Amino acid sequence: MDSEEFDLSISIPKGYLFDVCRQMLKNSGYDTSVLEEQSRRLFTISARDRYRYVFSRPMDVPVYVERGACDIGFAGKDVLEELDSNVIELLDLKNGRCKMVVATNRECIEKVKEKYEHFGSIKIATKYTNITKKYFDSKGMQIEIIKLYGSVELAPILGIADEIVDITATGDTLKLHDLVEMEEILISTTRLIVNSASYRLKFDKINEFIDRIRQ
Amino acid sequence: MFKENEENLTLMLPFGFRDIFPVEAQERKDIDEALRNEFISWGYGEVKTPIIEYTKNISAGAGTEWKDKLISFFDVDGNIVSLRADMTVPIARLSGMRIKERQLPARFFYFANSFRQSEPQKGQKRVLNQAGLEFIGAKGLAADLEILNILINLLRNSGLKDFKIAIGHVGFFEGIAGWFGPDNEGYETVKKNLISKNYVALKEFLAAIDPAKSEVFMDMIKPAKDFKNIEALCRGIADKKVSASIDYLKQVCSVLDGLGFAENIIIDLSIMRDFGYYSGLIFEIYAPGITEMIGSGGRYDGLLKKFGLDVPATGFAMDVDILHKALEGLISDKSRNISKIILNVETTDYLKTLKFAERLRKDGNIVELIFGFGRDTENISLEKKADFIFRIDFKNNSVLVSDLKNNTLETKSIDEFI
Repeated sequence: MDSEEFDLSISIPKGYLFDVCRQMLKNSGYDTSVLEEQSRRLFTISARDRYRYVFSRPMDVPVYVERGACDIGFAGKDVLEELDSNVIELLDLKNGRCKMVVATNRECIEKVKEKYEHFGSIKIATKYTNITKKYFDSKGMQIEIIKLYGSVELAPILGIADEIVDITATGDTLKLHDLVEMEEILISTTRLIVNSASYRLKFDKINEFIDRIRQ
Repeated sequence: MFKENEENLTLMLPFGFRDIFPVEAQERKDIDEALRNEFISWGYGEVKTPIIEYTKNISAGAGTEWKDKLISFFDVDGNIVSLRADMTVPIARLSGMRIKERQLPARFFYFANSFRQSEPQKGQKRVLNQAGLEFIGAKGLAADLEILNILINLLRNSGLKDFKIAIGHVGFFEGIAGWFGPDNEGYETVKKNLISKNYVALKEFLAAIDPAKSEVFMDMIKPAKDFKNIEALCRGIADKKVSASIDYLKQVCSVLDGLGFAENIIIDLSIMRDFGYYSGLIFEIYAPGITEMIGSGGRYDGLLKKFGLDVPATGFAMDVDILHKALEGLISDKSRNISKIILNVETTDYLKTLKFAERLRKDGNIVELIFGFGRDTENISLEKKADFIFRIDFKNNSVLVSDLKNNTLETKSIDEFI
């Protein structure tokens, strides 16, 4: 894990947060030229800043940081909440904003209510099974969770679920599929997370990074 | 017709448990031995306690979150019992039961497995292999310094490089809570967020009470090499409990510096533990390349009172599994200096064979017996990492010695060895 080539290893999520993170690093004066050429590479090293950037699926960022493959990572609060990772959630970077909602088909709103009263349980399709369980547990509602890996919006249309729990930034996708937001579960923003051992062992390097990012 | 169906056992273990094989077990023993020698040289004595205790006793000192992690079941008389989840609580219970005031201070150490529940999907272990010590009836700086000195000795002597002991103080948070306002619920929220390492929620919570103070607090809980920044911030707080805890840490550091341990110490006021019983100095042990905490400890003055002995105490525990990983490559295998001989005989003269083998063992060799020439002795010997194969021919009173390291073959007379 320790290397001559770099001082800190930083996990960057691919997808919509990638550009947000790159911009943030650029604004803080870091050399992001190595991030531009990221196409199929899994990681890259900035020789100038002595940082290694590891590109990964958003859901894997907290895992890399928790397990110490990376000292620092950028992760959405939604992902952190879902994985319940044992990492230090150090900063709210306030960007990459989106919300997690319970949504259902426009026509089904009344039907879902009836169904819950009649059968005492409803079906929820989601990628975020842990958050869904926690949320409905806290409301004291009994549900069945259907885990899907993509296109969750389809579930109510196909009739396999009564409601969905999913993340939405603008609400456009929901509208497109005739879904309406019923409840808001959480607002997610990008968080800077740190491995707890690294935080103690490399605190000078990490504090320096944080101070620059915060500026 | 009457033959019973043989039961096919599932070759699996309950999740979170594992077996340990000879190589690991041997290394573990060497680590334990080094720790034991250090403990004994300071006057500590080993204790062993039952694996099972009353749940009521075990949860006496535990934090709320931790209580859910006990592995519990019903005893035959209907009482709820649990597997011990650490050794601090059982030793506090033992001290309350058996130790009289005049016997204090008492110094105990232990090597023990402790058990904690975890979620199957997280794949975490449910057994902790711990080594540690408890210094019962010892108050103040002298005792805290003693256990830190022992801990640093252990880690340094093990060859572990660049390890860090992060030290903090529970009194700091009590002071901070008072500084923000007399609100006990607030203290619990701060504690909860520090334990779950959610600094974002922590800052939000404190900023809602007082934004300026929350900035100061968040700055203070950054790990640091020295007290420069912390002291400057502390002057602005002007709270007795806060400055007393910082002064205490400064005294600890100044003695440890004097002992030449400065490079292994960092000040970290963010340390908070998921146990209800810590009361003063608290610390955590980290090493490069190891992402888990190697161990932790601190003062727990309130715990023993619950077991009827109202005395202060301090101690630490290390996770030997994690320590072992940190020491990988640093452990010198003592047994490698001893020759291992595979004694291969095709005979039923067990008496002669056993006598001859015993002779070789007395000379300091490891001797493993294999009867019959039929088996592939060479391969077995490689598998067993042997140094020599001795093929004995009692009829001709000779031994065919093959030296596996130097690849030589030689016939010797048995008399040469006796």
